[in-house]
Amino acid sequence: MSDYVVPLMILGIIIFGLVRRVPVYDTFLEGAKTGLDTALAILPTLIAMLVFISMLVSSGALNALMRFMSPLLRLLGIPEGALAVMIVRPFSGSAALAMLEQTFRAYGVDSIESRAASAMMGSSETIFYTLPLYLAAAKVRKSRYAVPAALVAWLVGCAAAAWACKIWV
Amino acid sequence: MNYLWAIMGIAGIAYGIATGRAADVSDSAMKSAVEAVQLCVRLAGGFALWSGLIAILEKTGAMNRLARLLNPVLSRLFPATSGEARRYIALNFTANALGLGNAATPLGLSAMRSMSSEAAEYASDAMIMFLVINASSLQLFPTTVVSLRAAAGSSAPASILAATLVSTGISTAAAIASCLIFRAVWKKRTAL
Repeated sequence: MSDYVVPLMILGIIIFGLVRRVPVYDTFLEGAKTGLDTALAILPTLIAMLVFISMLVSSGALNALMRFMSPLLRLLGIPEGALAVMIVRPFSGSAALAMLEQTFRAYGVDSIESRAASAMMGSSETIFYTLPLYLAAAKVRKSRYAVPAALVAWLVGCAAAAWACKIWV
Repeated sequence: MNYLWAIMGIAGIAYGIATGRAADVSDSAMKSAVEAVQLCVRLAGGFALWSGLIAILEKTGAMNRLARLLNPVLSRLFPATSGEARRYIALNFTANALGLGNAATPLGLSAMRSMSSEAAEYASDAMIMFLVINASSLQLFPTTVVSLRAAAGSSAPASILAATLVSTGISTAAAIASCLIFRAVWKKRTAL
């Protein structure tokens, strides 16, 4: 079903545009131009965040953070095998996917660990990528309580994912 | 953001040197700078495609209708925002729910831009609400994860759907709640 979402959506937009007598081609070009400008505008933020995140991963600092936090998170009922995905998720989507594959291999795909990690993957976002990107777009420098609030939502979401997987076996 | 970024860099470098992984750290720093540019190029294609399509959608007036449809929710979550900002927010949430990340990001950036007034140094409450809801994921169908599970030979790759849906709902609710709580605490702190 999800294979059809994108093509049908494009089809729908174009037909709807024609029905409403929108100059679809010229409008598309205008919009595409702003899309390219947007991509270029976020490049400095991308470099700033991705370089430091990769240093956190390659230095082992993220692993240390994981070890430090794991007793705390186990108290919340999160299975140990799902912790790697959970901790990496706010930093990097692709690294979290790699962790997810490792979890599949270590515990088996249909284990509680793997299913909890899968649900976490879907129920949270790359906080340290989304936040700076959006803040840069608004040209805002002080994020106030955005980071702590996002981390609370992440923690609750991951705990909920672990519990939900325990309930629906 | 200023300190957070600095702390991330210092922690990575200091830990890497302390554990004798300085070479790995400098390697990965260089590599990921290049990768960031490559990612930007890849994103640019998707951004351009979706921004073009959205521009058409904008001219048809469909965005207005969607925003009006979601207005009862949006006006409560984002009071004191312009109609333009709400139109982008409505479409960003829709794209996110459908899992169209490449469409959602330029919309989200436009929403942020239309919420910002020039010379504002601090993120507004509405901006933070929008950011945190976005950071909590709104995706209804986790396509990547399900296909990854299928590839790994799961007996029921989609068995996580119910759990994902529930935890996505809970994390979004938690996002809204924590924004409201932090907002109240922050106001008190700055008032002192």
